[in-house]
Amino acid sequence: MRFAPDAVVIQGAIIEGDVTIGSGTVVHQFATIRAAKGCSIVIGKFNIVEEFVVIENNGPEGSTLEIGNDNTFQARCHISARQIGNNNIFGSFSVIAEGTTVTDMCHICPYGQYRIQFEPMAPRTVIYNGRMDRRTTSEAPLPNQTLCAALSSQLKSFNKLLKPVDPPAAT
Amino acid sequence: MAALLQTNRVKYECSCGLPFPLDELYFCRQCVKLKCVECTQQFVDNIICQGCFETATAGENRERVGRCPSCYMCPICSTVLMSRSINNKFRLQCTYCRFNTLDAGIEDQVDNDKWKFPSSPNAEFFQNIRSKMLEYAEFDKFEHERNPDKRRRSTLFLSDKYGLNSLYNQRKKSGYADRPEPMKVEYTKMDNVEELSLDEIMAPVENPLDIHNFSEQLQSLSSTKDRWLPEALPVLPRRTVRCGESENSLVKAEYNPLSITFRMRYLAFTYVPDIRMYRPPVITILTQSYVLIYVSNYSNGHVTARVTAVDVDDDSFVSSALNKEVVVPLPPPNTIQDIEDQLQLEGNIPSQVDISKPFYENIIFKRRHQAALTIPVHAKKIVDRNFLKLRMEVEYDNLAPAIPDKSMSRTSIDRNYSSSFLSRSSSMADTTIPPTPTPSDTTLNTSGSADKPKISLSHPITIVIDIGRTIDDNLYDCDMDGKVPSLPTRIPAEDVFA
Repeated sequence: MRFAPDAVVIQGAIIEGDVTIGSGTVVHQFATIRAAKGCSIVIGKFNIVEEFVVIENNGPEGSTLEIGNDNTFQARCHISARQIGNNNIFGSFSVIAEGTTVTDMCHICPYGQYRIQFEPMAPRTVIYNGRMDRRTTSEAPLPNQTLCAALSSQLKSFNKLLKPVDPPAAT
Repeated sequence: MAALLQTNRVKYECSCGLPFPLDELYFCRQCVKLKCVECTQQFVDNIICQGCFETATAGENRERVGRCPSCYMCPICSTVLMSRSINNKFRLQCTYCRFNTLDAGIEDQVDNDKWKFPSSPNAEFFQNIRSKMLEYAEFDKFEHERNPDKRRRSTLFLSDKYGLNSLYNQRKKSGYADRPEPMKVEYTKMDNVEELSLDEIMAPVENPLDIHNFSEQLQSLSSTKDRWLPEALPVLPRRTVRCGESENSLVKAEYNPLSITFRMRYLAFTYVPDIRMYRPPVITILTQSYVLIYVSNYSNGHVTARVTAVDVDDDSFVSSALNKEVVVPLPPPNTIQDIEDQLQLEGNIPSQVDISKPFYENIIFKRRHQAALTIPVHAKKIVDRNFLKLRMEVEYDNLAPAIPDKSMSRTSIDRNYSSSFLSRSSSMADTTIPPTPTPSDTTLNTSGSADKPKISLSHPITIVIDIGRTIDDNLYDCDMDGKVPSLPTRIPAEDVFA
């Protein structure tokens, strides 16, 4: 488990396994970032992981779930994808199933689901109304840097930070 | 909230025979029957825009073709578009499906009030037709005035003393116009018309990517061929509702079009107990399962509901083992007392349930105006939708909910919540209204002792509940993709809102 010195992980978040969190990322309480045995999760810079989000990697041993920069995971989404790009917004209660690949600048509206396995999601898609797909050429989601800075200063003043636990030595 | 709680699964049979959920039914007090949209007359009262709350008269509305001049509608999901300012410019955006005016190929505007969208190429044609028809209408009106009913004899005698009578007649005729000319239609007559050849029509398409179907258009919204432009938001009417048989008003709002209060509002839920299903059960053919139902009383008086299950021969109706009638006595709701109970007893409210009787012949939960019943149920066949048919007879111990006093200006719900919050000490006195028989209850059945006449609805109400699909005992329940779901690691949305 490695957290960048800028990263803000609030106590109450559940982090298990080999997880690397990049600088500027904010992880709220009750978020679950779970890597199974042998798997790892790498989270990039300036992401926002809200409450009750589940990011898990149950995949085959040796696989890495790479999450890019500037993503927003809104409350209660459930993500078990293989790879996630930059600048995405995952709405509340959304479900990204196992084996999927999400690219850049997508927006998944609340209660959206994405289960298509062998083809990566096209960039700039919007999934709304449950399961329907659509591609837009609209504005890209704005970078998260200022929002992350504001959130981290607010959260730090009222909460304790979680310290990374070294993985148990292999016997 | 109704869509989330799926209140449309429980349908009451209206007096005209059609099934409706309880929130879409009205109650006529003279006929003592449930009334629905189909057996009532609806009159448009006012016209209001749901985006900007602007009201209009019927004449203004006719000129605007039933649309708001300043609000716009998303072409994909038909919700109201909100304007958002980005870098000192404005853009219209849909909050539901994230549609933008950028997707429609329109740049950000500096001025929020002046949105102009390119109109369709046929708009001018229809505008011409419309103005022509208006000309015809004016001419017809003038013609009709010019040739009035010749049987009428006017007693007014205008003497031609000053020689003005002829001038007066001329002035009357001066607005005379010729009949408007018909519109020019450009058709040319061709001498040689070629025979229709199938080769042209059946020729293979050069570029298949040019032809876009519906979902493909959604994928490439800003291409110039398939532009999905925002439409002007259609305007909503506000209606008064009258019973079809007796012409009584059932719902009538205040004069002010923006007010949310009503002058009269006789909705079914204040007269008939509300049945709501709690979470669809797992129904199988072999094992018996229980349907859990909440019966609630939202009227002003004490109501006794008698619920029985009805057997139907159809395979999609479920067979129930409930042979007897379950009698559910329900007092009126009282939120002040509920809150005081919680504070004083700290949540240890004694159960009002009789445990001695068997599970399904009895009420398994009761708290003041709400009770829960279980109905044992077997499916007959593996079907997508199973139905349960219930019959409910309603008896009122107080006459207040059946025919309230005309001096009561507010409905029963207002009396419970608004007035009682203001005057806590007198709340107990307000809710128990002494029974006063009124002379207009000859249409109700009266039964019971001579001291306290019990009023009941003349016909029992039939209720049909959509329970859900039968689950095959042999197979596990599969996900839509065909995979057997693993143990859920997150709380499903239905459990959160339960």
